[in-house]
Amino acid sequence: MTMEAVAAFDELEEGVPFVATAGRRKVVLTRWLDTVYALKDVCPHQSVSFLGGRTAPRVVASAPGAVECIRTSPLIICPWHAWRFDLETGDCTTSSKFRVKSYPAEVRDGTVYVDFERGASRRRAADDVNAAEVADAEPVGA
Amino acid sequence: MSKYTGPVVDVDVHQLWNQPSDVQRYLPKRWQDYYLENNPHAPIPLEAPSITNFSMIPSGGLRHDTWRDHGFPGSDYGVMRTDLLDRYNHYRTLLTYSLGEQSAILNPYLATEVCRALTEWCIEEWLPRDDRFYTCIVAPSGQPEVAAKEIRRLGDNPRIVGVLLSANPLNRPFGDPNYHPIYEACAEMDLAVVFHPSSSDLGHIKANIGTPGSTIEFLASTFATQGMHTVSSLVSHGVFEKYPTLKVLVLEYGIGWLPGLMWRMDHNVKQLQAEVSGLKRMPSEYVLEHFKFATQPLEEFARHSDLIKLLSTVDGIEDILCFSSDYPHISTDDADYVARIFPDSWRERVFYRNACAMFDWPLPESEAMVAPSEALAGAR
Repeated sequence: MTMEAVAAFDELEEGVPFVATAGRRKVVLTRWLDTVYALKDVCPHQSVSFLGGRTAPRVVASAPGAVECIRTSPLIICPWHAWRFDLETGDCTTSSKFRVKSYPAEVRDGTVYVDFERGASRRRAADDVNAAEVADAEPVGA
Repeated sequence: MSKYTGPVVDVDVHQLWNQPSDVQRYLPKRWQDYYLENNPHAPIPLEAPSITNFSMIPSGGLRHDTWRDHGFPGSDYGVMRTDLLDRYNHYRTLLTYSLGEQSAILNPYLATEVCRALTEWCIEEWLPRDDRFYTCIVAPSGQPEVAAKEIRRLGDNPRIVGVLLSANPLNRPFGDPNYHPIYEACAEMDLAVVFHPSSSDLGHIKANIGTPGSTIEFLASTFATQGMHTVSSLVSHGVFEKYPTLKVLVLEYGIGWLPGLMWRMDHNVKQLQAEVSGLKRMPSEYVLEHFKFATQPLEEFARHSDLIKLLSTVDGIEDILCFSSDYPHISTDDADYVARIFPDSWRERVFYRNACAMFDWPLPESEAMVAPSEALAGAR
């Protein structure tokens, strides 16, 4: 496992997406309840950066009116169209066809390290044409 | 995957005020006093009453990254230039206000003055900021004769290329003769009629299928139905026989419904010729000759190629589509994303040629150097 240093932990503000660069890679780091999550910084919807987005706890409803807020399951919300992704897995909760690549991240001695080699596949449906079209897209902004 | 690097004409960019007072100071003193003194603890908004609960739309209907320390989204030129104009190589940009639906303010006298103040505010404060900016006159459409005077008063300004019709305070379809003074003035001044969805009035929907009870209903269906109704009304009322040079730009209603509407109008006109005796051609021919349609919000089919197949059922449809972003709204379309969806042979037309043709603009000088199709191909 090769971990790369990408940011100082103190640079991260709780719940505020932070974009770091490692070589040609851009990764969006999010600090949530003192855990750091790392995702590839490309929303697979229209291939824009997560910079300027926000985070929120997952909200589920098992029945009408039975709303539960799960703070230990945070989501990142794209700033453009508010598509939501699980910070842990990269799964898109807006459209199940999409996933953004997630990377293991850890904090050691005040530095955030990311393992780019062990990133999970961003896409679940191999036959999804639209996802394939943006598979290698780079973010517009950031 | 490459970025789109060719010239962009964006026909739907919303410049907003930071504070209502930015615009209110262009009102006659009587109405400034009305705003400032009537109820200082609960200021009267500049917007018309809305049937839509925008707080239900993420980030209040505005892109979250545009809520920054530079004032209200869309109000800061520097941010707009960085986020949009320079990032996407804008050749020209059509400013379309905060929808331009102030004609639906319930007091018709105030509505007219607010529309006028908005146009003056844009001319004085936005157009000088960037040579790429062009705009529309906000039509006080509740009083078409007054609107026509306003069009003739300001229509000579070379940076004004259209007349914005968003709200529908008369509760009549836009082809109705009540609105014809506006079209007559537009034809005379060679300005496009620019339609944009409105959340402030849905008179025709109230009358037929009921006012939407949720934001989902509003976004999912009433945008398209407003657009369909407007197009079919203008054609069937013979507006283009009466004003044969009139040009129309339709913004933000989507485009997926267009082939079906064009087929159905042609189909129905064969059965109902007596009703439309003023028409000398098939409805779809008027659409192809007089209309341009903004691409946003582009329908997101499971396979993008299916959208192109659907659109391609209309011969020449690539000549009536114009790129639009809708910045800074939550439904902004990214130019690179749109470029990936449209066929290579459509891109130049969609991104700038069609808009330039509509507004009689010269083609960008950089066109020969960086044709978008070449840029895309070269980067693959």
